[in-house]
Formats: sequence, structure tokens, C-alpha cells
Amino acid sequence: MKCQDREKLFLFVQRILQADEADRVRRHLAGCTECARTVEEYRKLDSALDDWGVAEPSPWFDAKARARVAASGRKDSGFLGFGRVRTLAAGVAATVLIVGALVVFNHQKVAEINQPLSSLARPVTITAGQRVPAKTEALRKPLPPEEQLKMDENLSLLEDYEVVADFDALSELPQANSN
Amino acid sequence: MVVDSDLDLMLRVRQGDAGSFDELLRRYRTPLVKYFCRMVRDEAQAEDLAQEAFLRVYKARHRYRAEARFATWLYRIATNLALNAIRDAKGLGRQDGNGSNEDGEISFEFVDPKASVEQQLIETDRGRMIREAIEALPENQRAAVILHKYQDVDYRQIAGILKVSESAVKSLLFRAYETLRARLEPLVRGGQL
Repeated sequence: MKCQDREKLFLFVQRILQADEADRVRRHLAGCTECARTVEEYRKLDSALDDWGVAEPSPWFDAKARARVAASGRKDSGFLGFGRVRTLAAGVAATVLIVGALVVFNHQKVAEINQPLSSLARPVTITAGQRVPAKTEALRKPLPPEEQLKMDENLSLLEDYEVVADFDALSELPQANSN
Repeated sequence: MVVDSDLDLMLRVRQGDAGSFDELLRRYRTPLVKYFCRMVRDEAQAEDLAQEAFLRVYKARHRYRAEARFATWLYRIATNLALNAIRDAKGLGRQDGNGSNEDGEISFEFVDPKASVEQQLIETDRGRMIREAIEALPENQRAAVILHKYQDVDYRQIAGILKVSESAVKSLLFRAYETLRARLEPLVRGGQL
């Protein structure tokens, strides 16, 4: 090796050189007092640096570190499953709200359907001399008891929204301007 | 008894295992606190930064890649924290001899006004002289010397931590030791002050 290659000597002292290069330096040092002195200086410097001591961690270091991690876990993603429980709770709450809203909506629909036909029917204006349609006339008469019984039996159908949704009761009534 | 590797522990931390996190804490708390003590000097701040480093490890646990060595990853987080703390403190502390060297690296000596009285009392004259010489090194050289000399980190790992090439680490260490050799000459030649 070239004499006075200080970087190589430094790397030799620090044991950073490859094995073959370290062998070359070792052989060179055996016959070069100048380089041997430089190597000795680096070794002394390295040894002197050992005198810089610093403190050990305090006894409460671990507790503080764990507390910070736990606090962070509560804030965001959650440590040891706390976050998962919270996410699950939020999901359940959202589901309950959606189901509740659907129930209320359906209840209102059924209530509208269960209104008496009289409240839904549009008034039919009959001018003097005009013949009252037979169907309208028939609606005014009270039903015979056996017909009333049949209607009562069919009331359960009104609770079935699917059936009621497609049933247009007013389509059976004559329009005011018909005929 | 089989000792779990850092990698195994970290993979279990990813799955939420608190015991594995405790084991990593136990293994690395002392080296990490000492690293920060040497980087920022103030002991209270060093502990705070070390806790922050562990917190960041936990927060980034899902991003940890199994091929990355845990110690390298931890020291990279720690080094970023330390360098940021030093830069933040530049506005608070007194800076002596600040300026650029031939590589354009900024060198400054940061004198921490919060250094504890106890710390000042236990510090030997030799220790103070070494600390001041190392603190006066440019940031990258300072981190490289502390990692290599005091944390016993391999130069290949230092390259990963500082995100520079291995030959750049060798060069950083050599230049740092040359500067230290000149500044600490009385210590080296005379053996004492």
C-alpha cells in the first residue's frame, strides 16, 4: 500500500477494511514506523473517546413510553383491540339508526294506506239532473253483514305493503268529468 | 431457551401483541436513550425523544417491512428525530463557530441552556472536551461517529440509517476522526488534560 494513506489506516483501526486489504496494511505496518505511529494515534483517539459517558434511562422510562403508546392507541387506530371495539360499536350504532329509519318510514306508508277511503277519495261533483253513477250510489248503501264480514277478513291484506303498494283504490272510482 | 429476533417481535407487534412491544422496549431503551443523550445532550429531552421514537415505531408498525433490519429502522427514526431537535434548538441555544466547511455542511456548536446542574457536575473535564468536539462536527459526521463509536452500529447499517452510500460513511467517519484528532490532540498526546 501507499505510505501515508491515512484513510486506509483509519479504516484498518476501525476494522472496516476487507480482510485482504487489512492483511496488506498489516504487512506494511511491520516495516513502516511512520504509518505505525499514525495507527497508534488513531487507536489512542478511539480509546480517549470512551471517556464520554452519558446517563442511563430513568426508572420510569418504560412506564412513560407505554403510556404514550396507549394514549396514541385511544386516539387513533387503537392498541390491543380498543380501536376495533370502538369501530364495531360505531358500526352497530349506524346499523340501528338505518334500521330505525326504515321502520319509521314503512310505518308511515302503512298508516297512509290504512286511512279511510273517504279521506283519500276526491269529491265527485254531481250537477242537477245528472245521473249518479251506479257504483257511487252503491257505495252510499251500508254493506250487508256477510259482505262486511268478507271485507273484515280481507283487512289483513292491507297490512301487506307489497300487495297494497300495487293497489290503486281510486282507479275504481269514476272521474268527475267522465260520461 | 429460544430468543426471539427483533424481526419476529416486530411482526407480532404488527398483530397487536403488547408483550412483544415491551420486549423491544426492554432491548432498545438504553441504547436509544444514550444515543439521544449524545445527540442532543439534555437528558430529559433525550428520554422524551426516545419515547417518541418508540411511539413512532408503534404507529408505523403496519409499514414495517420484514426485509428491513429493525435496528436500522429504529435508528433511522431516532436520527431524524434527533436532527430535527438539533435544528429546532438552533434558534434557542447559542451557536459558536457556525459556518460551512469545504463540503457545504453546516457546523455549529449548540450549547443547551437546559443542561442540568447534576449533569454538569458529573461530567468530567475529559468527557466535556470530547462532547464539545463531537458536538462541533457537522450533523452527518456527528451522527455517524456516535452510531459507530458509541452505539456499535455497523457502517453498512449507518449507510442505511443516514441514507448514504457505504463509501460515503467511510469518508464521513474518516473526516470526523481527522477533525477530532486535531481538536483532542492534548487528550491523545498527553493522555490527560
